[in-house]
Amino acid sequence: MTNERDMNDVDELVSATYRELADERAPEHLNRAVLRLAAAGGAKPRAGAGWISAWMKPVAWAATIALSLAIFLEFSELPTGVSRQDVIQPAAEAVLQDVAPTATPDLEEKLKGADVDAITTAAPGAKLPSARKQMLREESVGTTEARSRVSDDAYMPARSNNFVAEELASVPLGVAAASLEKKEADSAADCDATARLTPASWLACIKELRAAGDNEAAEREQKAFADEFPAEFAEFEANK
Amino acid sequence: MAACREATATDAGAAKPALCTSAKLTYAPLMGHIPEDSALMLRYKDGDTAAFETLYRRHNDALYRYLLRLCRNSAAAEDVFQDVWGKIINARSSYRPTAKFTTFMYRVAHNCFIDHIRRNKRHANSMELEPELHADPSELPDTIVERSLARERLNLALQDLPDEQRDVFLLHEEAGLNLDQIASVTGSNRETAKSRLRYAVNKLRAAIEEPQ
Repeated sequence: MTNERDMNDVDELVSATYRELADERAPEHLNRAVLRLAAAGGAKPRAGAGWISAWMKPVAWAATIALSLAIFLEFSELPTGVSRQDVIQPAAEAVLQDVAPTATPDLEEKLKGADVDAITTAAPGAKLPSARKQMLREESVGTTEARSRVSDDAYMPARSNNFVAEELASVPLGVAAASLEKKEADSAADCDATARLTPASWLACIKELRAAGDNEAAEREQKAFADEFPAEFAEFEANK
Repeated sequence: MAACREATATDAGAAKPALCTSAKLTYAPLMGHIPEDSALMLRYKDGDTAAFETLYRRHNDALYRYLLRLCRNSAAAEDVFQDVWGKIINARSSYRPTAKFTTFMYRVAHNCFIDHIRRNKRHANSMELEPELHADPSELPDTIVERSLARERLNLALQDLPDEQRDVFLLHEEAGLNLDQIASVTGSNRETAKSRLRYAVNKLRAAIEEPQ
């Protein structure tokens, strides 16, 4: 009723004049455009299409992001010019070649189970450098840290290719490269680490080298022996 | 008359005599056959494009005139017109017939016009609509000349109205909305809408009656 009264407020003359004035119609091109838009948008979506499109987008985005991140991480780990594989593979091969033949099961048992003092008493007069004694103690205690140390691999039992490769993979590239260089230097020595364990075994090794005619190697080993065990070397020279 | 129309629509099925008998005979069959705007929109929501076309043909010209007078520029009116229908089409999936469809449609149109003003601050200076009268008054009878001059004056006065008053007047004349619906569309209260409408009508009447 209130609206009715309000409607009467609008002047009939104004309304009629406006009606005469306002005779425009929507242009036909607009009508066609809107109806075309309505026809395009009015098609009922197929059943199931809604929920598929609902989760396809997030999945596609997540996959794209994950892939980009993986590629980025892959490239960011590689130093320029040197690939990780180039360093690890030769290092692993060098370690395997050096360790596997020397570390026999007997030696492993001996190193793992025996007390350091027992070893020294078993070989009277034998003296071990303090660093080596420490290494043997660690071995006998069986600490993981000592086992995984790459520089101590001469004291470690032979292990599978995979184990060595995994250990090297966990070592930074610089350390692995240094280890590789050390392996190459060690491979030049003719008396292996086992032979160098005690003065007696080392001297026996030197004698064997001389007997085999490899005097150059024998000299080299003898020099190393003199540096490591000066007293025994002096006694050896005196008894010669 | 409107009250009579409402009464006949409600009592269309009843056989008892009423004061508005002739009106009843005129409107009752129409109300029975013509689907409601909201029903058409719901059918369009379900994929019935023909229902949308019926709805569109019912309102396109009035909406176009509303926007043409509001924008005072045919190019801008066409842009806003397409924008409005695009929004209605996009809103079909969330459409709920909680209000009269025309109220919904003109609210969308009003908001699109406000956006257009914000995008183009110079709209007030882009008045393009030409006065309608081009005939030579000496060649026409006096009454026709007078009516043509009145239309021209009304057109000019309409363009001179403040945006808010012109909006309210057009919503009343073109959309046929009542004060409550106008208030709902424009986001104002009923008294404000009523005041604006009265100011607009008074100015337009003065312009029609007193030649400048």
